Amino acid sequence: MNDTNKDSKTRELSSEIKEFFDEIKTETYNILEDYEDALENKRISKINHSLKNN
Amino acid sequence: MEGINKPEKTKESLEITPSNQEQNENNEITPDEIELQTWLAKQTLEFRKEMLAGINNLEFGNLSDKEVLEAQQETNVVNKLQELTDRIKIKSWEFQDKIALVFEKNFKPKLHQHKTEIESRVAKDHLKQDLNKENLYLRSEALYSKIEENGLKSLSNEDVDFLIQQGGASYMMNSLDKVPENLRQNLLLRLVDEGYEKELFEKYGMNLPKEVLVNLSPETIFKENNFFALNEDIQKYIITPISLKVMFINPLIEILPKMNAEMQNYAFEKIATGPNDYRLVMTQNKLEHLSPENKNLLEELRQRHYYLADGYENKKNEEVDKKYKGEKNKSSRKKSNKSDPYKVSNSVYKATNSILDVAFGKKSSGLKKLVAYKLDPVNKVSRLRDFFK
Repeated sequence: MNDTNKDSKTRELSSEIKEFFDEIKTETYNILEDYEDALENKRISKINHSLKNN
Repeated sequence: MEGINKPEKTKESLEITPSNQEQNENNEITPDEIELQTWLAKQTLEFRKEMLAGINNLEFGNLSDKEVLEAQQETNVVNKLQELTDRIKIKSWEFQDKIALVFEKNFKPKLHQHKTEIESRVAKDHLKQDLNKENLYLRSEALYSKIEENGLKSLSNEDVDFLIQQGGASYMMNSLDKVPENLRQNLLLRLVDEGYEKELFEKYGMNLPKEVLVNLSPETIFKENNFFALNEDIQKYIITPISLKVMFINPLIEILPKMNAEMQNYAFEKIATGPNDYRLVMTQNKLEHLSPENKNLLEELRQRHYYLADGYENKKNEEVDKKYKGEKNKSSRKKSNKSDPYKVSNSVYKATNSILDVAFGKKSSGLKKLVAYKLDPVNKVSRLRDFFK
């Protein structure tokens, strides 16, 4: 493999690594956001329940 | 590759010259390869850092441990994060192999090496598990022989815990009458954990030690007049911890009017200063015997909870906001944690452990405790979204 070839493969691979981790970070964000929404819903129903019983 | 800090050149890497470069490409790690490996490691570390920050920034408000765990189960968050981590592990191997290919390293030996490493690790794990099982079996057998020879008095609390862990709960349940006093309390607590509450209660009723009574379910404690059959000291002993547990609050509030004035005030104060104080607001008319101070406290609670509910839906309520600003952050649980600033409930700690095991794949008890502290419902943290913006 000559140097130019190697450079382009290196760049390609580093972009692939970056893309993979960006994708994983987005998924993590979505998972944690779902969890956060679930917590938020629990807080809302707690307040509503409290109001209803008043 | 923007943002990558090049590794410092070592003596060996400085020695790379055009004349030996060809040999180097095939057999040794080149600076470019190091750069790619560093890039991969940096991305992995950044991911872990962001995931941890994301977890840190979750807001739990005044949710109970049970509600927090329910939300975890509903969203399957722990398993999903575990799946992501597994994907990263597999993908990292793929990247390692691709990096090796770019630098014309021999792909097959590397794959073979991975395979051998994995197989050897799996074999070691199996061997370890087999040995562990064998050891556990031998230890149980030895303990049962010890009991046959010298009776239960020859056991320690640790032995009892071990035998119950190894499926000996039923055996211990049948031997309860022979258990010496020094093992009794620990054994009863373990049996409650193992689901023998009903049997224990049928056998001993409210004569169980108070340390065990506080661990029974609300159905048992408040069944018929069980609670009032206890003497007042034990009633007070039980009220203190259970006033902090969500599932006990409604039944406890239900029986408040049946209590005498002193006990009612005691229980009221415990609930009012705990994290589930809002439930008292619902029953204000039932509380006849409250002292004037506690009646005032109830009115304060009522107004504060109306404010919280109203503030939630109408955030521009400036007048009440002025009056109660800051008060909603007060928590008696925070005060009670003064002696150990990082003290958290077991369920929050366990949940954090599972998440951090996923995030780090290794044990780090100090860090876990710190993060568990931050995850505890009594601590307010900034919103997750802000971190990712």
